[in-house]
Formats: sequence, structure tokens, C-alpha cells
Amino acid sequence: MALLEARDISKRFGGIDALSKLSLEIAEGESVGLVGPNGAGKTTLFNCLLGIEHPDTGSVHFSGVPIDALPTYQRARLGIGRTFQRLELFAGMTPREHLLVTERARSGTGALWKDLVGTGRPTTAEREQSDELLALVGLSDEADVPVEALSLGHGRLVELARALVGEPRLLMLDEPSSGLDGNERAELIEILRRVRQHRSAAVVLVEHDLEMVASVVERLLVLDFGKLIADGPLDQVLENQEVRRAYLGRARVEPTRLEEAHAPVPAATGGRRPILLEVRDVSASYGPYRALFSVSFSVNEGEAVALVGANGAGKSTVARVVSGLVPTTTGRILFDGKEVTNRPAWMIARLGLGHVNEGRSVLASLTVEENLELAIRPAVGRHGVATALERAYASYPRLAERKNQLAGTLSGGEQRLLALARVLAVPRRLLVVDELSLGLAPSVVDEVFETLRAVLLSGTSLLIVEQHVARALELVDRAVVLTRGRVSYEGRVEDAAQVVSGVLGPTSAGSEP
Amino acid sequence: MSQFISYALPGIPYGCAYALMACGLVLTFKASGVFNLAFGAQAYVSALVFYVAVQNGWPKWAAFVIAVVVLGPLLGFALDRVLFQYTRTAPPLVKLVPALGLLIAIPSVTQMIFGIGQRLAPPAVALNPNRVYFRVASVAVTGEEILTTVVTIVVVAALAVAFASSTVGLRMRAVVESPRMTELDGIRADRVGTFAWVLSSLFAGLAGVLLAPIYASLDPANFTALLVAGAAAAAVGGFSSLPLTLLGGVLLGVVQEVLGGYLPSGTVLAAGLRPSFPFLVLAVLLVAGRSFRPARTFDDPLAACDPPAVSLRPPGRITEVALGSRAFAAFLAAVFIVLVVVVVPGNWEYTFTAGLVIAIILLSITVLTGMSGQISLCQAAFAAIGAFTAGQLATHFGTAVMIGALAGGVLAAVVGAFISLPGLRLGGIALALFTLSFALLCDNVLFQYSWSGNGASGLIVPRPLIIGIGFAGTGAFFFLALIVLTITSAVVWLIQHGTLGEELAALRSTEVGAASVGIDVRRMRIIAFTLSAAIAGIGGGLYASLQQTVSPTDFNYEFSLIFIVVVATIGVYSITGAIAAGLAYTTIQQLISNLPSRYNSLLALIFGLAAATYVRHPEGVVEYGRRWVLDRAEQFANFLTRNDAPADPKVAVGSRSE
Repeated sequence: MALLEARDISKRFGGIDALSKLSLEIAEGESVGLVGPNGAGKTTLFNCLLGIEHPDTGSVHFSGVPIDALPTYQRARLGIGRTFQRLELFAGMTPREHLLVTERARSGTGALWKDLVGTGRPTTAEREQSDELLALVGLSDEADVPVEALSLGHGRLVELARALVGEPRLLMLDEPSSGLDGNERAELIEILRRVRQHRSAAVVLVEHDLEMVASVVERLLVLDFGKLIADGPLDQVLENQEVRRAYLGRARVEPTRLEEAHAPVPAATGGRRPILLEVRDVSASYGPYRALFSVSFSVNEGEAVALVGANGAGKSTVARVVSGLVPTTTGRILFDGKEVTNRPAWMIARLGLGHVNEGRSVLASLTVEENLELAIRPAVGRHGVATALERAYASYPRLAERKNQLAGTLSGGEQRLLALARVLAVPRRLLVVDELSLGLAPSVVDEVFETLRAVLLSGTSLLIVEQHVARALELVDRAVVLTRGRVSYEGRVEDAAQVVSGVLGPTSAGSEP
Repeated sequence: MSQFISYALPGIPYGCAYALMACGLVLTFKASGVFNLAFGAQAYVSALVFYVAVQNGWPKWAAFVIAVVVLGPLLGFALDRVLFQYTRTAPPLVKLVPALGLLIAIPSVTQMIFGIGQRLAPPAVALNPNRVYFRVASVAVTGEEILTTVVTIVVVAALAVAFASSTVGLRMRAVVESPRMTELDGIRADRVGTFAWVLSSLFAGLAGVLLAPIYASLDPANFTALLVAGAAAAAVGGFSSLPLTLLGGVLLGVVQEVLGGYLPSGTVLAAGLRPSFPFLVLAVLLVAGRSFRPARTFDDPLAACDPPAVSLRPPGRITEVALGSRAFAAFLAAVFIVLVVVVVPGNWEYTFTAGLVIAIILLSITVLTGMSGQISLCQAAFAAIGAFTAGQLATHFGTAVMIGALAGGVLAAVVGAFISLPGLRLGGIALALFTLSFALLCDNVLFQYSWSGNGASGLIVPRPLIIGIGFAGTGAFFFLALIVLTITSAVVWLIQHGTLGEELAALRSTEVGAASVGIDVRRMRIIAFTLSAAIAGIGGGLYASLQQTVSPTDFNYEFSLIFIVVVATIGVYSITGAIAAGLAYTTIQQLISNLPSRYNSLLALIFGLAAATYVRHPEGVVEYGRRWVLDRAEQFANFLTRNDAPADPKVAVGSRSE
């Protein structure tokens, strides 16, 4: 008998089939990967299985018993543990407290009267169990630090440990490697292997990183447009042509070196490109936390520069400081020769700087068209809006189809497309792009890099922060390597590669198969 | 049929008044993201200035210009600069607290400037409000009715068109979601935000001056009632659609008048139900469906650009400092008790005793808002239930007061559980509105019956006599209050540090995360609500006994608002916060009582404005101060032991933005 059996699950959101008649079985103790393009319905499936969303049709059985009528917390108590792509940690609590509260919650042993007579506090046995779990995921040293002070990678480990409390029979992991750097990924793979050795739970792993999938699972399911398009042993499925088309994208073409493709340098500048952005000795903090220490680098006209570094090194902060989103505490920033240090973001934007931020970079409560209009209007005035809109739709026909849809209801990939369309709808001198490919399927990542290449060829300069370091380095002329808020290297890409592998670990080169 | 028309027709101008308020609310909500409960108070200010100017012989047009065109936008500008520009990226619930503060602060400022006293027969802007201009189906139509109806329809139509088609409307909605993302498009988000407040305040002023003649006298309470009625009309339009809101307002007015016509006159039900009908409608609509609630808002994806939020949990301390702080707290408590018993004069003894009793009621907010993250605007109603139960039992059955208060706590708990059931499906603003309408229903109907609050005459409640020990004197009652407060605090402490408290804390930060680890979210919410109501009920019973009389006005809805604002300012997450808030509340009131009567509501002003600090420092004044002192103490201790921690500043985690 299967541990988990889902039959004919369908779920519609605003006219779009997130899942249509999907059926699957997970056997006891089995380890299954679930991959598919963005918007294929992976997270929706998780939510339907756990009762966070309610499917329109179909039923779910857990060890032979129907669980459709059970609320989420009861399904969790039956033995389903899960992690979230976007962390859902308990604010202000330490990893140990996370595990202790989960032990009580899973067993449902908490009661008001127990608290009142003073027996509501954790028992020795419960403490031992949580210590054991903390050791299993390698968090013993940080057991008593509030989760806010942990790195993203360790935050994911807290969620993993939390999902393992009470010996669940099924473990559902939602993109655990998303946003992690090379070293963190290697650590996570190691820990997942250890968990597989010590725990008997079946695992369902949603993941874009096929290397991680390959090292954890035996069976692979592929989801596309809410349907299962492949199901079988890992290597067989990866050979499947339909899968390759839907998910992995076309075969990679050898990149042309960009120097050759660039527009010729005007002779008037003496063969050198003039400096467009100059960052001099800039420091920045978030409240008490210092994020940047005297960072200096520059971006020339028509040039592409990558910001590289481990998670927490300050890459996003550099991007935000440049765009005027985070104030500097010391130092100067010059854009196109003008002083823009601590100027408001709108003023810098009007000088021709576009910024695509990490995560969601669209206004979720506005429609696609309103998002575009908002970006276009300040640059072209009332009368230019219509033509600029037409141009944007011509370049991104997928957006034209959805122009009246709320941006928040677009899939992750479409949101990224809209974010790009927004900044590119008006002419820009410099584009600051923060983790554009984060959480995107390999085929969409290709599309995104193609767009960036086109942007660069049109003469716009680029400053990019990328998880796919190797691919970013193919695109750019120079790289700036950040280590703990300081610039540890600035210069040509060829030499950067070595620094980068030292900083990020050998597996950081990207996650293509 | 003609009787129906004669009832229904006068309802239309009333309905238009509701619609005008409702559209103002919706406009502010859409344009600034703040559910501005102070909208009614802003309307009141303009109406008052108009009234005073006309009284002083100004021509009506000049008075209108000053009161509406100048004062309204000016007030909006000031509110935005002083308060709401800092709340742009705050979650809706956090925005609600300063709005509540304003709701009680604004009328108190006007009292201080213009003095107190009844202002009868507010003047109309144009047309004679009482003259009958024409008749429809033999129903007289007065100038006031014509004016309200025509202006409402014109204004709402203009607004709907402007908001739907203009760039400004689009930008306002964008700024509500993320000011920073809007700035990246080259738009001055700050200006857009300020303009939203200027526009909505102009609207409030207009509504105030137009609607004032509906009531016989100018009273801020009327405007609050009008606001809640407006919220009911806004619910019909899902807090978003202006045409539906207009329709909702008119329907509400008509049904209310028809109801008033057909209900048997003279009964409490007829007298109470008609004015409180809108509250009932609001409560029912909110519970009925998602489309009648304020739309869910999206987080600002660039929120990570802000410094990290203040942790609500006190940081761990080195042993010496932790022990020292506890010893110091115990010392302070001891000094306070000795001072009250030995030194302070009688009226101050009463003040401090009342402070302790209020602290018990405020602990109910610590449980509900601090621990479970829900905002209720009917905590005073729960306290009133406790008070009336104790009073009724003592009057009719001679039950001992303390037993009566406990019974009151039980009854309040039952009512609280019932309120929490429909409230489960609501969250944030919707729950706040739902509980506010419950509080108004209690004030207007439930508490007017002789079997509950006994209306204006109230109830007599004796001081307790427990196993032969009398607590008739205030000095003795002080100890009783101290004991009950200690027990209540102990209960709250045990829960806070037990499984329930941990599960509530988990739930407060992420509902999905909590459910996924097996926490029963619904059950937790019900328990928190029930417990909180019980604590408020017991506190209310004790308060009635301290006062020796109690009537509905002691616990009307305004107290619910003031209580929330006071606790939020001083500290809603800790027991010490609630105790300090209770004592501060009565102490300030005692100090104010020596001032001229126009300064009566200085307390509302102080805390109303102080509530703005909640946005930056949700941990509250007390906890902020404590951390400041303990940080210094710890540094000093480290200095003494030469145990300087190596200065390795924590590098911010960029990816925490997700």
C-alpha cells in the first residue's frame, strides 16, 4: 500500500489550471524528486497535499486513509513534515525553541491546565530529542541564537529539523537550495544524505538544482502545466525528450565573447570607455548591523560587471546602495559624473538607472498593464504611454495575453519577465539586476540571460548579482568579488574565476546538469 | 405602500451621509493603506470650526473655505508628515494603532481649543436645513436632505471617475504596496503619499460640514457612529468599489428608517436597534464573506531595506545583570506598596488602587494582542459584562462580590468564545471592525436593559467581604487588588512561558508555518479570546466594586480604544507593560483632574499621539527603557570583569529579504 496516494487532484486559480487531474503515489520510505518549470504547480501540489489549499477535485489518502476532510494541523500530526521555499520560521525564537514547540504541537499534548500547574515546560526527554535533531542537521552551535540572526542556509536547516520532529513518515521539501551559495548547497546535500541514513521517512523534494536532486532521490516526477509528464527512475526521466523540452530548455550554445559583439568604443574617449558609475569607499548598515565596509568599484559605459560573493557578503546591499534604496554611512557614489550619494531613489531613477530587485519586483496588487504604465509614464509623459506599451507588448507577447491579470497571480517566471519588461520599457543607462534567475527553471534562466545579453548589446550597462555565477561570468567583462562586506577582488573575469571558486566552493559553477 | 414610502424616503439622505463617509474611508484606505478610523474625528474638526466661525458672524462661504478648503488639507498634510509617512511599509494592523490614537486624540484637542459645551443646531452650508422645499408622494423634503443627497452623488461620481482613470490613483495604489518600488520607477512616492492624505482629509472636512446638521448637536461620538455606519456601507463595496459603496450606504439608510418606522416604539429594542442597525450589518457582512472584507495586502518586497525590526522578545542577559534587574524590580514594587500604605493621601491611594484594577483589565490585551496578535476593540465590553454580572448578582441575590466578579469572568469568557467563533475567519482590520461593532451594539442595546447594565441609572456594587475580612476601606481594597493582580499576572506568566504561549508566539509570526507543525490555529485563537475575555471580566467586576457603582458609560466603546492605545504605547508584550500602563493611566488622569475642565481629555491626547511610537517601537516604552538601561548595565559589568566581547559586528544577511 502506498504511503501517500493522490488521485485526480485539480486546482484552478483565476481561470488558470494550476493542477489538472493529477495523480501520484509515494511509497513508504521512498525518495522522490519533483521538478518542473515555474508555475507548473509544484508548490500548489504541496499545499493541496497538506490542506493549506483545498483542491477543486480529487482526493488524498495517507497510509490508506482519506485525509481530505482533515485540516492542516491534523495532517501534520499524522506524520507529514514540510519545509517552505519562502521561510516560515517563528520570529524571535531560537532553533531549539522551534523544535520544542513543534514536539508539543505534533503530539498535541499541550493543554491550558498543564501550563497553569507549571508542567507546560519541556521535559528532559523532549530536550534530548531536540538536541539529537539539532546535531543531525548540524545546528548544535547555533541552537540558542534567535533565527533572525541565522543565515538563509541555516534558516533552511531549522525548517528541515522542525519538519523532522516526531519521526514523520513523509517529508516534503520545497526548494531547499533556493538562494543558497555553493558552500551552503554542498552542506545541505551532505545533511540530506545524513537524514536519509538516519531517518526512514519518505522524501518528496521539489528542486530546480538537478545536482541536488540527483544526489538525494531515486525516482523523478516531472510536472508541467499542472500535469505529470514523466514518472520513473531518475536517469531514465532525464533522457526523456519531452522533459528536456519542457524543463531543461535547449542545448546551451557556446557564448560569444562580448568584447567582440560590443558597439565600438568612440575614438574621442581615447579608446577607453568613460566611467558611468563610480562607488568610492562606501559603507552601509541596517540599523546596528554593518553590511558594507569601504567598498569601491566602478562600471564603465556599455560594460557589464558582476557582483559575486557568498550569501551575506553584501551583494544585494551594494545593489540597493547604488539605486538609493539604502543610505550610505560613508563614501560617495557618482553616476554619469553627478554626485548621487544618498539622493532619493526616484532622482537616481530619473538619471537613467533601472533596478530589478531580488524576489518579487512587480507590484502584485496592480495589473500587468498598470505595472507597465507606472514604469513608463514618468519617462515618456502622458502621450508616449500608448506607444511605449505597444512596444513592450511586442517584445513580450506573453505579457500582452495577461495584461489585465493581477501581477501577483502570475507565476514566478512571468513575474520576472514583467519585472524586466518594466525596467526595459524606457531607455536606461545602467541596469542593476539582483538575482534575476533565482528560483527559475533552467529553460527560463536561458531566456533571462538572453534578454540580458540583448540589453547589453543595445548599449545599456549592467551591474548584476547572480546565483548562477558561471553563467554570469560568461556575460560580463569584469567581476567584483565581495567577502564579508569588503571587496576582495576587482578585475577581469578570467582571474576572478579562481577567486570565486575559493570564496564559494567548487560546486558554485551553476546548477545545470 | 405609502406608509412604506414615508418611512423609506427620509432614509435616502441618511444613506447618502453614510455613503459619503464610506467613500472617504475607501479613498483613504486605497490611497494610503491606512484604515483611518480617525476619519470621523477629522470630519468633526471641520464641522466644529465651521460652526464656531458661523457663530462668530463669519459669512458662510468664508467659514466653509477656512473649515474645509484650508483646514482639511492642512490637517491631512500634518498627519502625513508627523505620523503616517513612517507607517507606509508597516503591516495594516500596525497602521491601525496610530489611527486609533488619532480617533481619541483629535476630539480632545478641539475640546482644549474651543472648550466644552453643547453646540446645538449646527448650521448648513447652503439651503435652509429645516425648510420643506417640495414633497415626494406627500413626504416632505427638507433643504438638508436635498443638499446631502445631491452633494453625495456628485462627489462620489467625481471621485469614482478620477480614481479609476487618473495616473495619480494608480500611483497611490502602487505606493500603498511598496513606496520603494514606486521610487525605482522615478516617482516621488513621498509626495504621492502626502497627496493621498491631503485629498482624503479634504474629503473628511467636506463630509463633516455637510453632515453636521443631520444631528441636533455637534458631538464627536455622532461622527464615530457615522464612521462605523460608513464602514458598513464600505463593506458592501468590498472596501474598494465606490459605486457599490454608494448603493450600500443608501440601502443601509433606507432599511434603517423603515425598521425604525415599523418596530414598536418605546421599547429598548426599537430605541437601540435603529441607531445600531449599521453596526449589526457591518458585523454580519464581515463574517458573511471574503468579498465584504478589506482586500489582503501584499508585503513590500523591498522591506529588507529597512533596519531589522525590533525583537519582541527581550534579549538574554548575563547572569549578574538579569539578577540585578529582577532584584531592582522587586525593590521598586516593595517601595511602591510601602509608599501607598504609609505615605500617600487618600485620593492618591484610590488612584493607585484603580491603577492596579485597570492593569488587570489591560492584561487581557496582553493575552489577546500581545500573545496571539489579534486586535479586539471590545475589551471594555467584556469588562462591563463582568461588572454588571457582579452588580446584578449582588443586587438580586446578595452574592459576594468576588464570587460575582468570578462569575462575571466566566460569563465574559462565554461571550468572548462566541465572539471569537465568527471572528476566526477574520483577521487584522476586519476583526477590529467586527469587535468595534459588537462594542457599539452592547453600548446601544444590550447594556441598556435593566437586567444587564440598567442603562443610565446603572447598578450599585458593594465592596467585598471575604471570610469575615472587610475590604470597605480603600487601603484594604488596595491589597485585594494587589492579590488579584498578582494571581492574574502569574496565570498570564505561566501561559506565556508554557506550551500555549509558545504555540501562540509561533502562530503570531506565521499561520501557515504553525499549522504545518501541527498547531491547531483555530483552537489557539479561541482559547486566547476566551481567556482574554475572562480576565477582562474579572477586572471589570473588581473595578465596579472599587467604584461601588457602575453604569454602561464607565465601559463604553471609547474605553476599549483608549485601553488598546495605552497598552500599545507602554508595552503590549509584557506583564510589566500592562501594570505600568494601568498605573500610568490612572495617575495621569488624577493629575489632569486638577486642571480646568476643558483639559479633561488631555490623557486621550497624550496617549493618542504617543500611540505613533508603536510603529517604531512595538515593544513599548517600558521595555524600550528597560533594554536601554540593561544594555548599559551589561556594558558596565563587562567593563568591570574585563570581559570585553571581541568587536565582530554581525554582517547583515542580505538574503533575509525573502
